[in-house]
Amino acid sequence: MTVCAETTPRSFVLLPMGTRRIAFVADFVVKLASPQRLQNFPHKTPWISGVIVQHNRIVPVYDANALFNEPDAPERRFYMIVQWKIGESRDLCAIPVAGECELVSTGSMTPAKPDLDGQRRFVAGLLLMGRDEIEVLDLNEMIRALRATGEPPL
Amino acid sequence: MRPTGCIAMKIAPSERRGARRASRSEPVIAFSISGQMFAIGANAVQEIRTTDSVAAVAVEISVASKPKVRHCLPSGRGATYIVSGWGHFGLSASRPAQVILLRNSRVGVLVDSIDGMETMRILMSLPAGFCGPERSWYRGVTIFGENVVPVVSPSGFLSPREIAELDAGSTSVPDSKALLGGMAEGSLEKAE
Repeated sequence: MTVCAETTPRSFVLLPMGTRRIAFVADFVVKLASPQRLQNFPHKTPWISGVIVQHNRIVPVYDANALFNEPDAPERRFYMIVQWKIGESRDLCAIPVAGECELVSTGSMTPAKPDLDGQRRFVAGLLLMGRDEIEVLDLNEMIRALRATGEPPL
Repeated sequence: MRPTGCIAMKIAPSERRGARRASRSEPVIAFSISGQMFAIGANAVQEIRTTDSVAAVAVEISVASKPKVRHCLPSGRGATYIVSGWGHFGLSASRPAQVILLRNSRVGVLVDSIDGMETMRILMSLPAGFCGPERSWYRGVTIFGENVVPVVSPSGFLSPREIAELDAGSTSVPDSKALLGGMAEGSLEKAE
């Protein structure tokens, strides 16, 4: 009997984030939304920078600096709407992006290397794109960490 | 008969749950604090008074753990505590001109202005991503025109436990009227 490693092709959305590129599994990405007015109201959730309205639905905009620890990220122009789920809580969130997103449907994710220093606990796997090794992030884990510590998870 | 190849699509249950909303229209009172608009259900409001009219009967109090409450209106049924709106929501200091006294409650809220009555046609639950005290501050959010407006929860200003703490711990400040005259933002002094 031969046991094969799971290499099911999946789709991923790649986006530039500061000096690097990151990826999300496309199943969790709802859409790339056009620029619109960021609205705000008083709250104490530090990683939410405001809300946008999508089809009569309020979608919180997550602060990319808080989420990815990328203070030098380029100017954001679009919103990537992503779904997350933690326990019974599920929601959409909007991540500001520069607009240079790429849908990759031929890649396969390989497991991340052993996490020796805890830096990769939010990495669901690695996507090999030529010579590049792109981290596929686990947004659920990132948000769970943000809720627990309030600190940027990456 | 459905044409061949047609795909029926329905919204996943999780999507429906996430977009929970009430669609029955409800009259609300729109008000502003520090430039931010809020709404409150009209049936939650007992009375709206000017800070001028309230200042005549208000007593200044001091409870270290509740800096947002600096005045109360004494009453035989228990004092009504006046909450600073900007202090409650963590906004920049402002000069309130109105007090919203809540119905069936011992709470009043200092606001800068009353912006009028509106009909709220949709109330959307606060997205699950928000996980701070705002979850108790708001019933949800609504949309007026193109603006997202939070709908405050009347019970979110002071919990029964906080009111009990104020009952037990508040000490009235002597010569409160002199202090009232000398206070700036957040006081019951008339807005200029």
